[in-house]
Amino acid sequence: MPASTECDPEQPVVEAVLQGDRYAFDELCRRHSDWVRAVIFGVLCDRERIDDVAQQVWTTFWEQIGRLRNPSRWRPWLYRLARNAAVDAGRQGQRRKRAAERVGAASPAETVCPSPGDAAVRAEQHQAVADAVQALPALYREPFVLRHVQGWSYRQISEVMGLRTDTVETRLVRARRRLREALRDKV
Amino acid sequence: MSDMSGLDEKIERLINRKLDGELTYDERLELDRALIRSPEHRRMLEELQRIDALCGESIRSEVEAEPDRPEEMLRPVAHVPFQRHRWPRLWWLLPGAVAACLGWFTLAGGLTGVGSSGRQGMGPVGPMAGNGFGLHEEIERPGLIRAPSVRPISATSVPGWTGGIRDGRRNTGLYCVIGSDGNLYLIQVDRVQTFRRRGSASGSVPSW
Repeated sequence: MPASTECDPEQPVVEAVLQGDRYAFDELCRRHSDWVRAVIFGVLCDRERIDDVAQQVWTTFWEQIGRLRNPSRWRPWLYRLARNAAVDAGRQGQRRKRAAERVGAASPAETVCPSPGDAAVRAEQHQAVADAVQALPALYREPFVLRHVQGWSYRQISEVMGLRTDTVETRLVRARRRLREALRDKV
Repeated sequence: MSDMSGLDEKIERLINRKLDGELTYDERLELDRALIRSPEHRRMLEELQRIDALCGESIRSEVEAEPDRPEEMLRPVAHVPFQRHRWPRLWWLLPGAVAACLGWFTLAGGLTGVGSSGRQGMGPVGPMAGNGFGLHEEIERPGLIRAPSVRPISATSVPGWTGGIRDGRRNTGLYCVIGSDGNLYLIQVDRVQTFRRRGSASGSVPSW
């Protein structure tokens, strides 16, 4: 992701999408699906519903991109689409219950350890970490998830989320502080 | 953690910037000095590094999409059957026939351009008494003979020769012929005109 929108390498692709180029739209989806999914997860914390919400986001993107006044601001606009869709989806289901069921069912198969004791420890740690991330307020969780999924800088995150760089940094500090408190003596 | 001192908050912020790769040069020096002096700060760094790694791994495993199925990545390609081009076996007949015709015309003097379609029976050039030009008798292949020392004779100056338009075909050149009187004649054939043998349907015989 460029530091400035003025030299955005995706600009030709976005302009092609504005012209109705389906192939360009597919390419844009392929390149940016990760961080859209990260935004959705940052709000929902539900892996099972990420695909559905992401599909809905890209459909809305394709349908409404013609209304975008400034094509160079397509990233923040896509972020708002993803976030609003995740918020709407979050109001419909029980996130924590589904996430806890998924973690409990999947952990024995995910770990490959030489001894059963290690597998149980790792599974317990994995569950504790997942619970701690889910317990974070969305205000802190969203930039934290974007930072870990995409490896974006403070400036890039602030540009997409429409925040100041200092605000992004503060939220990341507070997110890690809460995680450290929640996972003390557990990992 | 809520009653953390100001120094601790500053070091905590530097540690976060280190984890995010946002440290400046001066900040890195300041953090290194703090880590050297305080074991507590070193413990904080180790804990945050471990938690950050575990959280990152957990988040990425949650967010990653399933890989595309191979069959979905294949695009249908229109299959056009390969058609091998075959030449006909008797392809040489047509060019062979054309070559044979050209050769026959060349041998028979058909490309000389002298006379008209009624060249047959042409007698010798020169004073004659209506027995044709005879060119083919005297000179089988007149060809093109240049004789700059000889005054070219236009066909109109040859007695008995009459001009005419020969069916639109072009013929040009100087032809050297020997008349029946033994004189050498050069005949300049006009492009669009030819000369008919008097008394014939296609030409007229000059009376020399």
